[in-house]
Amino acid sequence: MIEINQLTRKFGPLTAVDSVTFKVEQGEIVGLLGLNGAGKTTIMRMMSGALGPCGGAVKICGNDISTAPNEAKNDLGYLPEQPPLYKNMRVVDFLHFTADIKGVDNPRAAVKTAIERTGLDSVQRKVIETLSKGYRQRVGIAQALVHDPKVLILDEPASGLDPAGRAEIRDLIKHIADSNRTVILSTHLLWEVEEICDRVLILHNGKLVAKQNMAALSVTRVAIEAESNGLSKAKCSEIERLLQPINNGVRPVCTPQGVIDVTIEANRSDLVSALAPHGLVEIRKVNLLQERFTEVTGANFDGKSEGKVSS
Amino acid sequence: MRATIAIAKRELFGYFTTPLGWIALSAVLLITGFFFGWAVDLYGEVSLQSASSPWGDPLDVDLYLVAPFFGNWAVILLFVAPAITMRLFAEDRSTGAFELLLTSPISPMQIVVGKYLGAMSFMIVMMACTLHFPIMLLMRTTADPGVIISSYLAIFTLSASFVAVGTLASAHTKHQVLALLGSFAILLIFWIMGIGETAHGEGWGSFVAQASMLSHANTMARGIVRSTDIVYFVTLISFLLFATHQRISSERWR
Repeated sequence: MIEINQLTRKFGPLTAVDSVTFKVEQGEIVGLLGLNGAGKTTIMRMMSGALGPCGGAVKICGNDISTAPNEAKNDLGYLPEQPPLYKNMRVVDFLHFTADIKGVDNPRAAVKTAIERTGLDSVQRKVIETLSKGYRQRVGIAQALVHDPKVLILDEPASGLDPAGRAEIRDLIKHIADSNRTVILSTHLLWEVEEICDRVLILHNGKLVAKQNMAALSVTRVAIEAESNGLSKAKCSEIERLLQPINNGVRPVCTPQGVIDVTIEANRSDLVSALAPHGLVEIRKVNLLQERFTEVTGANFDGKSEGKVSS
Repeated sequence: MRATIAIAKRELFGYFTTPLGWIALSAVLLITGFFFGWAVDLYGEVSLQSASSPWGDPLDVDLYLVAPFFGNWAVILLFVAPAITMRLFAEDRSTGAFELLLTSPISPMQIVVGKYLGAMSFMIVMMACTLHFPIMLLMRTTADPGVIISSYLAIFTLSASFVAVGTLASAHTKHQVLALLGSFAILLIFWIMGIGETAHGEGWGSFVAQASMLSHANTMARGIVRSTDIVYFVTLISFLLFATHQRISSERWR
């Protein structure tokens, strides 16, 4: 569906995107995660055709965005970080305009569908300038959806919204992706990736440093009581052996501190019965995205801003 | 074609939903109305003096009323065209709406032509709003309809080339004021070139004057429509739009 091959972009001496390669399959929701300046927006702008690459290629549904731009753009909808709106137009007129420039066969029906999908019914006759930021973001998503594209590229879709607005946009994206559409979104909010995405691509200094399935990052973390000098190697091995059948046959790693991560599907009662004799302290579900992100980028987390990362 | 028309319609609509369009329209009507009234007064006064003189001939309406009216129109255009065109690309760039056009399945030429046609449509509306002045002349005086039509053609071709200059200037920046100053500066240079012949006589002066839009429009305003003038305007506008297209096409590589 989306094929990015050795994509490179330089701005003078600065290499903003350095030989990035990845694929996104149909129906997947993929998150591009990285610090500010990691190259997320540059990649998205190259994918959408707004920016030309210095090297490499972008294919959308088999069409190269550089050599067959119109064919590729027919299959993609793009929401930049700043929604591309004509604020002096009414919502419905603006969507009609976007349907016309995108060559939609039946603009009236397409606009109606886009309005319904994005929940804009109540404000469709209002001038965009008078809408709240959340609604403007919805109008931005509606313009990206109006020609019913197979691929949706969303650059920081929840940026600048309050928590309620973010939740609305998150639900909207999930709803849109339900129709077997491929969605790729960029963000620097970890919770957004955790809640929405199937897969995450971590960027750092213009390079793709990690690709990870979200399912593999969601684990059940078990803590068992350890003495002050930690668990012995033999005890660790015994616990690992015990948990292997519960962990889909994969042998987990037990740290000397008594922390073990097992697959998210692990049955809670199985874990309790297996570990109770060994001093079970805690069982909780955790997401390893934060740890993985810190590991590959060296960035710390700013807990005050809801998982927002800071370098 | 549909996308081009949609862009042109949006641009035209944009003038009427912002104060800019209404202010420009009102200013043009006020100024042309003022100069028209002044020219009529002057004509009345001079023709009265002429009638009371034993050697006085009846005054030429085309020379004393039609020519000044359209001459003033051209000066007004020098100020209005940059104001009308400054927002075409500059505003889209500053608001981010330009990304919508760049990522839609349309060519840069469709964008350029759509924007240009939108601004030209507004200029045509503006011209249509001043039609009552020549109609009054036709009804009440012996003005030559041919001269009025060719003068309107001169204003139309001047507008078309001024708007093309403004479109090119707007394509180069995201600051509307810079676009306005840029197009005004270019038009002023063309204007000064137009008076080269008067200032420097034949030779280089004449050559430079021929490169100016003004000298070609002047010929038309006198009621003479030459194919060379039409070819000049078509070539100039095509070149300016092509240059704008090149600028927009190179946007992806900046």
